[in-house]
Amino acid sequence: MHNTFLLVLVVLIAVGFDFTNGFHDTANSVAPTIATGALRPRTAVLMSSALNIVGAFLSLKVAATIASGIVSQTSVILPVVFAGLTGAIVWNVATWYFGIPSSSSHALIGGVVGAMLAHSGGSTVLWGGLTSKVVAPAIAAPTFALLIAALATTLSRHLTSKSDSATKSWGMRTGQIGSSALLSIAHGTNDAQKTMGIVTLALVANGTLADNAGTPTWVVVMCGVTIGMGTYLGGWRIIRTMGHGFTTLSPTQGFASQITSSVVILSSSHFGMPLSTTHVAAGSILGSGVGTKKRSVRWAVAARVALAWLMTLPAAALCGALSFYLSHAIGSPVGEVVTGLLTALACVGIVRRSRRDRITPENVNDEWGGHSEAFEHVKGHSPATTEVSA
Amino acid sequence: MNSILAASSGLIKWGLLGKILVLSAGVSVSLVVLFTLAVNALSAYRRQGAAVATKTVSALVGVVTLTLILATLVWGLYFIVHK
Repeated sequence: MHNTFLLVLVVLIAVGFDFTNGFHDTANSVAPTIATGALRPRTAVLMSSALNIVGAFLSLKVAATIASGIVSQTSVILPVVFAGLTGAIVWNVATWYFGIPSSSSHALIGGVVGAMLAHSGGSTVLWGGLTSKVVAPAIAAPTFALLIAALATTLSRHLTSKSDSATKSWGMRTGQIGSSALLSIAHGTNDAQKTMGIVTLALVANGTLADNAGTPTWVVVMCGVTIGMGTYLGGWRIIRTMGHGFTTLSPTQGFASQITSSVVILSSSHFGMPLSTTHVAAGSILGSGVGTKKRSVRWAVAARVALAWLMTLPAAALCGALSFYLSHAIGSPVGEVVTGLLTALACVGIVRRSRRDRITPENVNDEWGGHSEAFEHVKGHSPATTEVSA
Repeated sequence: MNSILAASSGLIKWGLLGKILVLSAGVSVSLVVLFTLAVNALSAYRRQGAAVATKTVSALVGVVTLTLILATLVWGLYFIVHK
């Protein structure tokens, strides 16, 4: 039952996942703030990083739910957790390369489910739990966020119709700093807990912790700090898509979308329902576009992102399953070492490739279409022609 | 509609989703509206001086207190019905 070496490997790979989670999801908290110029890019990610760490310490409700109810805890073994995490990391880094704001939570759950299916078949996956905790919230979260942000933006737009634009712009940008801070705390509260939940699951699977035991403090600190570090490095490619790809954000839209995202995430955390912060943030930004007078939304970008959302769970599951088969074929724990190294190599390769057209704090606010908006690169389709429907 | 809700209630927690929607919508919209009114008050002060700003601040206080009274009334009603 006890396998300390493998447990250490799992904890290390979990830290890697947590880092990609922060890196991938920075956009959720700061994209509108950066896009409207409310804060400088570096300042925004520094603030978000610090508050993500704070958020990680506030509540453990989601950590308790992510570790149970999706797969049978008694059937989970360390190689399954390891393979699940590698699947999630690969999917996170690949989607980051394409600038796609996909859900890290779904990648994590998909990876674990795929590895579990490879290990012991469908009987150990709790399909009901998967539907109620993943599929239903995946549809509800962006829909709620879109509707609420559209309503909030419309009301705000009407109420400020007679205000002078300089004061309105200054006021809303100031509000954005506050709402971005709130959103960062919400993200830390919601997302750092997912890795905490997975590490706890691994500790239980190894027999280091008793069944239904709480999350140890060292896990909370480790996950909080790691997600904060990932956030600080900033996934600029996704920040660009979120800040400029869906719609051209005004300070009013940015403020309404960020307030909506934070409130939806915090209220779902309050009820112990793990939502994808990415889905909520993207839904809110789209909603803020819908709430403008011209309903300015690039639906083509939104449709591609939605397609990526649909693919996340099965794709991460496939990566998790392949990772499990490979480790299993070589034999534990050498198989896990090899798989871990291959995952690291794949990530380094993707990062090196991304340097051909780097998105940095200096060019993240360039006009949409000005870069090789990677996931728009379909033959015969020029990014510059991406429509903004009136 | 009722049969769909009943059939799916084992898999989808409609009540919980409903609570999240109502709470999120109420809090988000209130925060955005209140902040917007505050920005309006500042804008009015900058443009037309103290007199208009006082009017706007009074309106803001009125909206806040009325919203709070209404919210607590709804909360109280919910509490009474469910006790």
